[in-house]
Amino acid sequence: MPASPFRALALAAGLASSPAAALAVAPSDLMRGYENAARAASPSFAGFSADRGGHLFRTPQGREWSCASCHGEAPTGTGRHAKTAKAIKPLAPSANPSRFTDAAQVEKWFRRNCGDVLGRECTVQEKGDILAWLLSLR
Amino acid sequence: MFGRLCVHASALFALALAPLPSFAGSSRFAADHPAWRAECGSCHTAYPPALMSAPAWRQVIGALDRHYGTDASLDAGTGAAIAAFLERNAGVGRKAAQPYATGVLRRTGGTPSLPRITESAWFTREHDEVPAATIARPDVRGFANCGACHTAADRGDFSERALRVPR
Repeated sequence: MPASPFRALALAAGLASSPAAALAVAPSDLMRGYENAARAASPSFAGFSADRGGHLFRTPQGREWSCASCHGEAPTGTGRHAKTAKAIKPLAPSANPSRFTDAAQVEKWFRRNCGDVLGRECTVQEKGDILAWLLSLR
Repeated sequence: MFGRLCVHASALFALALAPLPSFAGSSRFAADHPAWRAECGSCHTAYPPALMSAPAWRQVIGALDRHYGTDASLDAGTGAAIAAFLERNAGVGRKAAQPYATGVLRRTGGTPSLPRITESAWFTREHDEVPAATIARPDVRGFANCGACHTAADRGDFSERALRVPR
């Protein structure tokens, strides 16, 4: 097939920038990274709180949407985008093991979605709290 | 005889030169790219590149941090790869949504208006019989949700055969 070398090239170029090419990590690795960063940022860092993370996840922060608006109150299930109604796969790693296994993807989504929910980027404390809550869900 | 042949030959030549819309009259879209599928398809259907013109896609890609009310910004490499794919497969026919002219760029809450597939004359005509009640359903929520009716939209198939309007 004459088109195949081009297609192979295009696929390779695409994959280089796609999540599939990223090194897989475990959610616990990300958690450790957040812990180290939080400790470095604040000497009074006292650990992450799943309860605080769950509250932040479900409560609007002065804007239209909360995290739960799209991911659902119980992100062990499938969410639905608040605007487009597109199905969003479960966010809790217990229900969807591919979640929180790619640091670049995680940071991309925190950056965008914290902007939509809070109007700013999330702090390391907030990210760690949310991940702690998501990891506590069964 | 020679004259007729000449006419036919030149007509064929003209046809061969004319830019063929990538959908070529069909409702199936084959253009695919893994980064486009992954990034554009996270929050909504990965809309077929042929449904917007290249200048319109440039406006969309140029404002990803203010993407119809949300932040959809990408790292530079992924953004460039997707932009090139959209440009390569952009629409050239009557189905392609056109860019907002700079002169009529409205601003609402600091967000520049961006071209919308749903605002093209072709889209409006094709969907004018869809009842408002169908669009308002919680599992539909708007024309952005192609897959609510076009059940194979995620595979680029918008044919009537795969059309199921929820009731």
